[in-house]
Amino acid sequence: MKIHAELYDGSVTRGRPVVLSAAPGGRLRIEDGGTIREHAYAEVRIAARIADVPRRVTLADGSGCIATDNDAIDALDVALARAAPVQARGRRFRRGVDRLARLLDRNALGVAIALTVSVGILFAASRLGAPALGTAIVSAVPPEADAPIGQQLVDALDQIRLFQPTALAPERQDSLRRAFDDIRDDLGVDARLEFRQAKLLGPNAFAVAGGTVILTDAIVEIAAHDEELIAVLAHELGHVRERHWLRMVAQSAAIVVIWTAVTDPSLATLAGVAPSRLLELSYSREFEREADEIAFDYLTRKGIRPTRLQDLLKRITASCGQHCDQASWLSSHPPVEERRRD
Amino acid sequence: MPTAHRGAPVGRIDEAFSVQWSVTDSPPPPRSAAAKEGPSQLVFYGDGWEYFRVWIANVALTLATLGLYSPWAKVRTRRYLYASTYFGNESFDFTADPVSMLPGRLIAVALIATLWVADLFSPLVYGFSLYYFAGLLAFAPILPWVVVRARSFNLRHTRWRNVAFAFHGSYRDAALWYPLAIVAGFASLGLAWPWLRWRREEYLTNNSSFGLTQCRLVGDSGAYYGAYAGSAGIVIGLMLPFAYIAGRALPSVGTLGTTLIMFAPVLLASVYISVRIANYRWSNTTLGGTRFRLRLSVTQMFWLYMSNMVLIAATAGLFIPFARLRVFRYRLSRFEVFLAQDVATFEADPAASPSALGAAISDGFEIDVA
Repeated sequence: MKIHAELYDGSVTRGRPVVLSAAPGGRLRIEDGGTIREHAYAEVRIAARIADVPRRVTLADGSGCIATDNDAIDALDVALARAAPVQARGRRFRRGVDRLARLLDRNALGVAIALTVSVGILFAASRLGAPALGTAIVSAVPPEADAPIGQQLVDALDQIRLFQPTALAPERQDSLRRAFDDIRDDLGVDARLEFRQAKLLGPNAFAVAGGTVILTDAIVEIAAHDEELIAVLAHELGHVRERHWLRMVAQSAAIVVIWTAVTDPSLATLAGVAPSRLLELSYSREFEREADEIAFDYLTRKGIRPTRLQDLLKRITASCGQHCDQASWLSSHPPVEERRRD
Repeated sequence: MPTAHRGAPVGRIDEAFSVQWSVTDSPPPPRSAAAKEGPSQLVFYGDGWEYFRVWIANVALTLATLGLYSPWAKVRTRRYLYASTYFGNESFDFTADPVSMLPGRLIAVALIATLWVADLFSPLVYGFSLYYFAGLLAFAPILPWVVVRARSFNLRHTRWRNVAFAFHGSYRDAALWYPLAIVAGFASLGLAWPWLRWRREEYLTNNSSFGLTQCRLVGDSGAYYGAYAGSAGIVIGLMLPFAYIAGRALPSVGTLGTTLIMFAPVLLASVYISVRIANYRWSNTTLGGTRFRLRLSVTQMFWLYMSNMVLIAATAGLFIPFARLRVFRYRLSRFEVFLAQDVATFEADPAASPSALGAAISDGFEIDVA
């Protein structure tokens, strides 16, 4: 088997045709013009095959023989490795990795396997991996770590004036705090209730790390009955009890890993993508459903109609029309229609 | 069959220096090319489906190894693109060894992860994470070193006809044009930014070479100011009308559609900057006597990016490799080379001895962040 290649000796961009073949004893024979040379397998480096692009066979002196007949080079590589097993041993790892990759990008079957593996891993990661990872992280991070993280976020929002001091009457605050304390003790979590005026955020409620729950003045004012707010508080305390903020952090880290695998960005880009702390302000639908269930359970136990939550959401929708998608509680919570079905 | 163009690509550089191609299984004939004025082009022979296979294999293995495979993925991707890009009868080559890239990558990933965790536990000052920015600041002194090593890595491993490109910029200049220039740019309220960017690219180009042949960037920063002013004009001129359209369209196209509409002027402005600057930069770069010309069109690039985004979203990401090739192919199609010397006469740098290659490959420690 003879392989036609172009030899570039690495001194100038001028090449000359050569013919490569396997000689006995695992040696590479090069017919170069009138001369014939032989190189031991250890002195030769054959680049991995990628699709069907040209590749080089590098010799010890740095010359590169560039050839396009990939099947023939594959055969040459196998023949040399088989005839010089001792020299081939040192390359087992590199050759193994290359062979694995080649298996997958070779043909339609390889593509099918690669697609199945990718989709399978993504599916398993989102369905099994994410909850398991979340649980592991939740048990690994002591609850004491939560409080400063959430408090810093609240402080920062105060600092940038997104949050302003509440204008609610102290009696109103106290009555809501009593209701809050009851839910808190019932769910067995450590939490505090705070009030803020936040014009940009509309009628809104948040639970941040460490159990601080914040109600905006607007949501208190729009409620027609205290039980509506109790439903909201029970929902937010559901987030607190399950430590959803921590699970969100773990999930966003996992998403970055997947994104990296799919797009192969530069590492410099990666350093610039600071995971936003504001993520804590909106949870995924799955976490919303969990919080809904906890709230539902609490409300039925206390003899409060669970539809109180829907009543409030409907009123928020009616009050802000089409603009409420921007910042209100609705933006981070499933639409009313969807929620009603649950 | 996507690979039909391969076999043995044979190019003949004819009198007018336009490249002609024929597909044959016979060995490539010896090439000779006389130096002639007139443009020649880089031709891309890659194929979307073929690249898709390389890409999906990379994704599968990277996911399955929790990212450890990523250096291999990078090298295979780059080798595919380079080896499919022909100048004359020969394609480019990328010769980095994935094993030697692994330690550098692991350290970089560990640093980034540390930065993220620090960010999570950091106090916030006016919404800015203190530890995150302190971390970035602590990174500033090694930035020049990283810039030089990364560019040197990428060029050193790029070869054409077995002659390597090289970068020999000094750390001192890198310190001047990276961390210090960034500070100066902010201090000047952005006014010095186009000039600083020009000087930075001058530094990068003037310290690059193909073998012994030096690259030079000639010209001045005027075009850079023009590019930035133009993009500012685009943002100012289009932002309000687009915000109005987005507001009107919100009920019918939803939040995602609105975001896309609002994003369009920003994308157009950034495409405008990068196209104008890339055109100017390449058209004013020389390699020895050889000159280049790049003539990208802003509207074409904008259309490519916008349509790519829609297609990637519609195919759950599967279009990514095709999207990349569309951009890559378009860029090459607008790039011309005016050779001033015989293509076979570019000399390699004896100092970058090819025989040292083997040693460097097996136990090197490569920094690669680009």
